[in-house]
Amino acid sequence: MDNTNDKLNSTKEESRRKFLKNIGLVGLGGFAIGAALFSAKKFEEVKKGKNIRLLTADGNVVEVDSVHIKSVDKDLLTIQQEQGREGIVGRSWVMVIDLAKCRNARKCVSACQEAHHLRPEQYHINTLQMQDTPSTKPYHMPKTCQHCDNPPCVSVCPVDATFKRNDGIVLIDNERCIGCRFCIAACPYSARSFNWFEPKDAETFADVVYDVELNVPQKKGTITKCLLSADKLRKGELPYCVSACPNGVFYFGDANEDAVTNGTTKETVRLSKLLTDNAAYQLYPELGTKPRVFYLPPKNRLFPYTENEETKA
Amino acid sequence: MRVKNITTPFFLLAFLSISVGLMSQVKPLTDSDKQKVAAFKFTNESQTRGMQQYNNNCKSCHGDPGKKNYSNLDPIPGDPASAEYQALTDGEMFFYITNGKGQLMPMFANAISESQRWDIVAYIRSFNPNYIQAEVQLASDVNLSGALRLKLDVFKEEKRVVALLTDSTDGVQKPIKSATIKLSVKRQFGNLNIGESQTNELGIAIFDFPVDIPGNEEGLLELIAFAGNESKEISVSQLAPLGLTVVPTKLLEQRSWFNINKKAPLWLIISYLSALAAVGGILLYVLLQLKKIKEMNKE
Repeated sequence: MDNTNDKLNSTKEESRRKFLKNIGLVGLGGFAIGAALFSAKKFEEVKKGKNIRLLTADGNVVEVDSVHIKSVDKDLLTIQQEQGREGIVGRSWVMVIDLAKCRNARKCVSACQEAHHLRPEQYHINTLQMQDTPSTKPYHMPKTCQHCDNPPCVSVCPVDATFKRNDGIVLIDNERCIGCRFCIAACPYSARSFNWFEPKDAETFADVVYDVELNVPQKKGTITKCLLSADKLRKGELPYCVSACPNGVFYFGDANEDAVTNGTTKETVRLSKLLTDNAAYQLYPELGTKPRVFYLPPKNRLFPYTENEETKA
Repeated sequence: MRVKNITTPFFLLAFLSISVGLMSQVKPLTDSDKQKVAAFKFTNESQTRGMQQYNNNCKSCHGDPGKKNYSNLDPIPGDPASAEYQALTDGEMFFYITNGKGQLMPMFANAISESQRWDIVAYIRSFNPNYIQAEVQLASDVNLSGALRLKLDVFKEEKRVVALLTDSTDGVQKPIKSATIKLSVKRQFGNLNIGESQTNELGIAIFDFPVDIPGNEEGLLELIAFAGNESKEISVSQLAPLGLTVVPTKLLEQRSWFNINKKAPLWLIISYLSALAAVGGILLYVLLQLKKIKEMNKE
């Protein structure tokens, strides 16, 4: 019995010693951190810049240390990022693409690449060559980002770099993008591409402030995608591709107004009537992505099917 | 069980009669509809085009004009070449083709275009040797010089827009007759055409405004009326409470997958947190058990 009691006492004493030792360590560590913080604060307080005379809002001249001056104005980048994230409230942009009219002029492609500083192999919009069955005539299909109302690319972005706006556009903020390419994997429409190389005219536009609504300048190691020309829409103009088309393929407008305007003829028609009268369809509606781009079927395919030099490759 | 089944046909019958009754409520014929004339002269070509349209859309009930081989329906469709039909004005004929008539004749407003409907009128008139077409006054012939004035009156209840076109060159306001006025609604990238109408003797053109054009949150929309030809044109715009009230949805305020963490779907937040709690709970339970085992070993 004595033996066991001794053993117990010894373990108790041991643990007490251990506890005191630990407390001492924690205390020392805490003191060291606290002291470091305190001295840093002292240093910040003592730090002095130039004294600057300023005129306050109520008309007094005051002298302020330049260290304590904070700019109230936001820089251009922040302003553009904020308004770019908000979108144009009250709008709900939709695009209608009439496949019966597309003749593979590829003016939409070149206008888009020009506006967004894309290399020739990068596409925000591309005219694809489609042939449904061996016995049916082929046709051309311009394909852009579908600006889904349930965008899988946005859901998977780990850093909130790509986002949905109030007016329905899906944008990408290259200042946040880390280049993980999750969104490329998530997108069922292959609408996104990666900047593997330095973008076109990188040196020329190196000093330009990044515009999130134009995605210019492009940045190596980030994603680039169709923006529905958000910068043009802010100015109240039609997107680059829509106004560049010579064949009247694109209709663009606001679903809240139930009206879309043809980019070529500038004719405005009712969206609901256009869609129902022409049996409009969407790409992969079964995926539940709720695309904002509608296609009118490629009827009247009696035109000669031409392969464009650029698309032959 | 049998007794119960008898009632169903009655309900069906009642439902059918109500729906047929609703369907047959066609638009009433107005004087301006009666006086409407075609915007082109009836020619052999328009009659041929009209014959094709007639054979496709009208022949199955009305038969061949002049042969009285119409279908035996109730009410009898009648022969369009008959005196009864030919007594109608062009405007009336056009109206009935457009909007349907009585309980049987359907409307063709959505099936045949306006010019094709006038072609059918031309074809039916070709069976009347005494017919003389009312003089067609083309919009380009109207003299639109001088001090023009275009005024819009909006009737919200009737969904009707009345345009008044006057000329006040001599200090007196004189109405301009037979001028074409185009009415449209301003949209973001262009003007949506609502309709065209010709002014009558009083310089008045009447537009029936569609009921389903979206406006803003107060139901307001901007009307634009336009009259003109090569020499002169005039347009006027005005806010009118004729639109549907549209409250735009803010996508970023919805709870959804694509939104920020705070706006994630509730079920997602709950299931995520409960999964976390479950894993944590299991770990805690395992640790407690380990502690228990240790204590048991000591004893």
